[in-house]
Amino acid sequence: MRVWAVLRPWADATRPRNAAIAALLVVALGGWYAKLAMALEIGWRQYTSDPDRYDGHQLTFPLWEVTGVPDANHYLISKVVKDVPVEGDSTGLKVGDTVSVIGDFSKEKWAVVQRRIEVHTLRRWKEAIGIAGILAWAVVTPLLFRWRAGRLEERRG
Amino acid sequence: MADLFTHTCVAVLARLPQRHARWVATFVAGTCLPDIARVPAMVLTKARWTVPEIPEWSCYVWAPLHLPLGIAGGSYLVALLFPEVQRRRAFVELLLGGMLHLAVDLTQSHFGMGYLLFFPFSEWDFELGWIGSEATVLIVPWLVPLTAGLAWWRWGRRSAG
Repeated sequence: MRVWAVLRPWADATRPRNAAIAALLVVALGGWYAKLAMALEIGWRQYTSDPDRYDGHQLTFPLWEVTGVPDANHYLISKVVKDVPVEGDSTGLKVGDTVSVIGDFSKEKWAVVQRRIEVHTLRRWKEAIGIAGILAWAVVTPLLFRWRAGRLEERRG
Repeated sequence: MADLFTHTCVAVLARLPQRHARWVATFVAGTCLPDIARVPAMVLTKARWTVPEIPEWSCYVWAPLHLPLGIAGGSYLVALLFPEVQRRRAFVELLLGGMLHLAVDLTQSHFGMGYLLFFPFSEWDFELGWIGSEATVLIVPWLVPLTAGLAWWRWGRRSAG
C-alpha cells in the first residue's frame, strides 16, 4: 500500500515519472526476450554451431516462408534466420509459400531432413486481411477517439 | 495470431450485453494493440533478408508486447494518455482487451510452439491448438457483417433515433 501511495499510478502529477518507469520496464522485457530468443537451444543457428551435439535432433519451423526451391528434393525457408536448407519433397512448392516444417538436423547433409510439412495455402489471404485490418484500424481509430486538452478520449465517452 | 478484423469482432461481440457503447472503443483498441505492436517485428524480419545489417535482436524485442506482462505495460502506457479521472478505467479496458486477444490467439495451432504466458518468469509455452492459424480467413467474411449488424442493432439504433 505504501508503494502504491508513492507511485500514484493514475495521477497527473506522477505521469511523466510513471511513464518513464513503465517504458523502461517494457524495453527491459523486450531486451530480455531478445536475449532469450537468440540463446534458445532450439534453432538452426544453435544446431549448426555445435553440429556433433545436435546431429539428429528435431527442429520445428512454424510459419516460415519458402525463399528458394533449388530442386525437387530440397527447398530453403526463412524467417529471422535466412535460407535454412530443408531436404524434402518440394513438388508444388514455390518461393513465397508459407510452410510449417518439423524435421531432424543432419550434420552430414547440413540440412533439416523433413519429417512433416504443412503448406499454409490460405496464408496470402490471411496476410491481405491482416494488412486491410491494420489500414482499417488506422482509419477508424480517429473516428472513435479524439485528442482534447492534451489527453485522449473516446468520442462516445 | 488472428487478424485484426477477427479480434475486433470478438471484442465487440463480448461487449454486446452492455447497454451503452461507452468504453467499447477502448476495449477494442486494447484487443488490437498486441498485433499493432508486432508490425515493426514483421517488417524488420523481412527487411533483414535484403539488409542483413539489421540486428537480429530488433526483430525479437517487440514480442513481449504480445505476452501478458508486456500487454499490461503497453496498456498502462496508453492509459496514461487518457485524462486522470478516466485513467484507471482505461487501463482496465485496454488490459482486458489485450487478454481477450491472447485468449483468441491461444486457440490457434502453431505446431506446438505456443506463447510464453509467464515470461519473463518461465519459458513454459502454451497453446490450445484448436484451430489452424488460417482458420479465421474463412470466418472473417461473415463475422464482420454479422458483428457490424449486431453492434448497430444494439448501440447504433438508439443514437440514430
